[in-house]
Amino acid sequence: MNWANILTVYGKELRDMLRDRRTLISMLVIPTLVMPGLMTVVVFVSLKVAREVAAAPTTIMVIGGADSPQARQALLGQGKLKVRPFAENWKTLIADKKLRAVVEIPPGFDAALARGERAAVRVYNYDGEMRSDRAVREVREFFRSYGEGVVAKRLAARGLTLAAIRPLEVKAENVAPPEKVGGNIIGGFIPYFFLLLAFTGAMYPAMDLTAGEKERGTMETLLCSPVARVDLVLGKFLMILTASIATVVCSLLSMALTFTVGSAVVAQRIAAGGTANAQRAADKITSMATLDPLGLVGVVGMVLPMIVFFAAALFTISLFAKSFKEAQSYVSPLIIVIIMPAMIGMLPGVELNAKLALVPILNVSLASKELVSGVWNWQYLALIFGSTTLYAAVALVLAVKMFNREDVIFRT
Amino acid sequence: MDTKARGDAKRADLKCHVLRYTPSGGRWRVGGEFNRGLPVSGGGVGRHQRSPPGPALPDGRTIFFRVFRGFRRQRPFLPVMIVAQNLTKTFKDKKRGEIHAAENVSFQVMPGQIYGLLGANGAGKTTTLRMLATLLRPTSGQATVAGFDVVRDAAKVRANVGFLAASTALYGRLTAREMIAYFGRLNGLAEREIATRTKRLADELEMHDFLDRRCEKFSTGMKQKTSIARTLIHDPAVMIFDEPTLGLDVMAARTIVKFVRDCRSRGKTVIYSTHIMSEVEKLCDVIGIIHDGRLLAEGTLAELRERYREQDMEEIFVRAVGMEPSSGDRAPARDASSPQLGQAGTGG
Repeated sequence: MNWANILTVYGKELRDMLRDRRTLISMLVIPTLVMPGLMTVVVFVSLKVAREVAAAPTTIMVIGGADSPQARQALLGQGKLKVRPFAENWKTLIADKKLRAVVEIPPGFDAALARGERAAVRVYNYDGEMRSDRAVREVREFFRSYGEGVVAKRLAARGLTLAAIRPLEVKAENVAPPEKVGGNIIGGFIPYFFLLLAFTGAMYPAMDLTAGEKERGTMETLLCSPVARVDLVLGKFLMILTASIATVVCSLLSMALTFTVGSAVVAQRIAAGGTANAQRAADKITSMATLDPLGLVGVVGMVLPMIVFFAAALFTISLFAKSFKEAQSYVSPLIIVIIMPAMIGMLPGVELNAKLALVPILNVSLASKELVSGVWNWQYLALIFGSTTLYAAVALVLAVKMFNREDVIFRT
Repeated sequence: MDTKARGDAKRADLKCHVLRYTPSGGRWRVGGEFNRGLPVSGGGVGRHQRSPPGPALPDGRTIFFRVFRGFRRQRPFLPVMIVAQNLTKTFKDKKRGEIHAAENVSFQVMPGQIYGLLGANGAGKTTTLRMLATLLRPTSGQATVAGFDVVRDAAKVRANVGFLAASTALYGRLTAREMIAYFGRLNGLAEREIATRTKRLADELEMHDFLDRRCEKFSTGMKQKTSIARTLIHDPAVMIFDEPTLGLDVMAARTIVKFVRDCRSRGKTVIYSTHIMSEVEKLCDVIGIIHDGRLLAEGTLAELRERYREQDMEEIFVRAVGMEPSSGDRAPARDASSPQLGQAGTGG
């Protein structure tokens, strides 16, 4: 191993790569600009849709209730639901989404309540349709509070207050620091992004520096030089590693920025609603954007050997291919192999244990989830770091071995 | 290359010794590949001690010398820069089974000589040359280039070889200057040396117009010149050309042919593979005809003409290829596969 040679190869590959527009786009521009851009668009569009839904009044219809003017008046008098005059074809109207729900007040409703009996209201809806479900929710909410009024009256008639039937109240209050809450909520996503970005960042250069060189005929030229094969492999490998890390850093920085600014904006808008509920939601969003910096450092430490593993593995696999296209067909399906364990790591309830600590990708994913929420399980962390480093070393040795195999290099 | 020496080489039953020239003692010692440790006695050694080492032999390097049987007699020693001994390469193919790309190929090349490897497509030229350039490992047999074994000292062999093939391309996103400098660095040259050599090569090859432009936009001729400069930046003693004119137009091909001649006149050892008969006639001092992985005939153009009683190279080629293996006493195939060096050319 000769570091001067390794650096010569690395320097050349770096220069070559920086001049390649396609690489720069896939490595830096897309993750830095497009991904956060897409995220922003998705968030804002969904917020807008939600606001529009909230703003548009929900149309309902009332059937019956001719003998229950009290309930009927109350229903017509509330502001949230717009009550349409009765139409015979209400079922079609619901199916056509022109009507969200129909409330059927049974005969003798008011009278039953006045007698202190239990009365039932029927709501017809379009099951699974968002606005129809919302109409049902609001009707339910209306009748709940209407019912409370009835209860209050009944209790008052007997000289009692609400406390008589509801002696207890449970109030939950968060005391965990906001970054831990954030870690728990989006902690699962962090390693997922890290791993996916590291993989996609390494993919293109790995294919270009191996199969691409074979295809263009420069591999044979390079092999004519007296530099030891291991130096060539390490120089190229360092380049792939650089590309991978650059992709991760660029896109995470830009995503962090988008997320911080975006969540602040969103929180502000929601808080502008003014109610206590809106304030709680805004706080939750703000805390999601707050992460424990030490935990993030821990995640980086865990992910680094994984990135080395990716770079070496991608090098080995795409070296086998004769052409860039062939390499693509080997490497592209691997994204799913990366995503699956990372996704499983995101599932709630999947906790780290000694066995899972040896499963590549999943172990890093699980450990990262714990790290960002401030849990440092040193034994598992050591086990994961050790095993991942071992996998990375094996992959690198394999890469050198493959590079020394003439049937791989001169595969026809 | 003087003809007398070559004649000697053909007539004598040859043996190879590795001699090491030690600058301090100023003596040649036997070592290396064959007969390691044998003392070299007699006037031969003494004589050679005074004569300068071959044109491309830096001090202290191991190099092959041709030592005739009974070397006590006063014979001039000739350095042999390339020795291939029963080089064999077998590939395994799932469908076709074992493929013998090269079988017992033996030959040697001396400084200032162009050895032409003539064969049809798939004859084993590329495989043989790739083995000499250490890109492929021989399945059996051995070879030394500039005194270094192609298996054990592969890196040193590559440091002494300039390999130019139709399949060795340039990095498109580098400029010609960067391309040349990259290979200079890979060969361990200092930056200043790279700069001076690049300038000299650019002067010789008239490359200044496009030296700082990216290779991807080059014409074929520019690419050729850049490739030539790339192979020459470390001033190798041995040049290996594998069908360098493949797919080139007449002018570009002429540049190559001229350059190959220049290499010879500078005392470099040259191997040139081609399937073009006229190139062989024009360029090569010794011609080896290779077919189905075997070296079927070897000799100078004159010798081959005499042996096959044909003037035209194409006819010679067809007869050489068609004759094997059992017509008459000369049976070139058997000659070539014989373990003793140089025998393919002894019949002449």
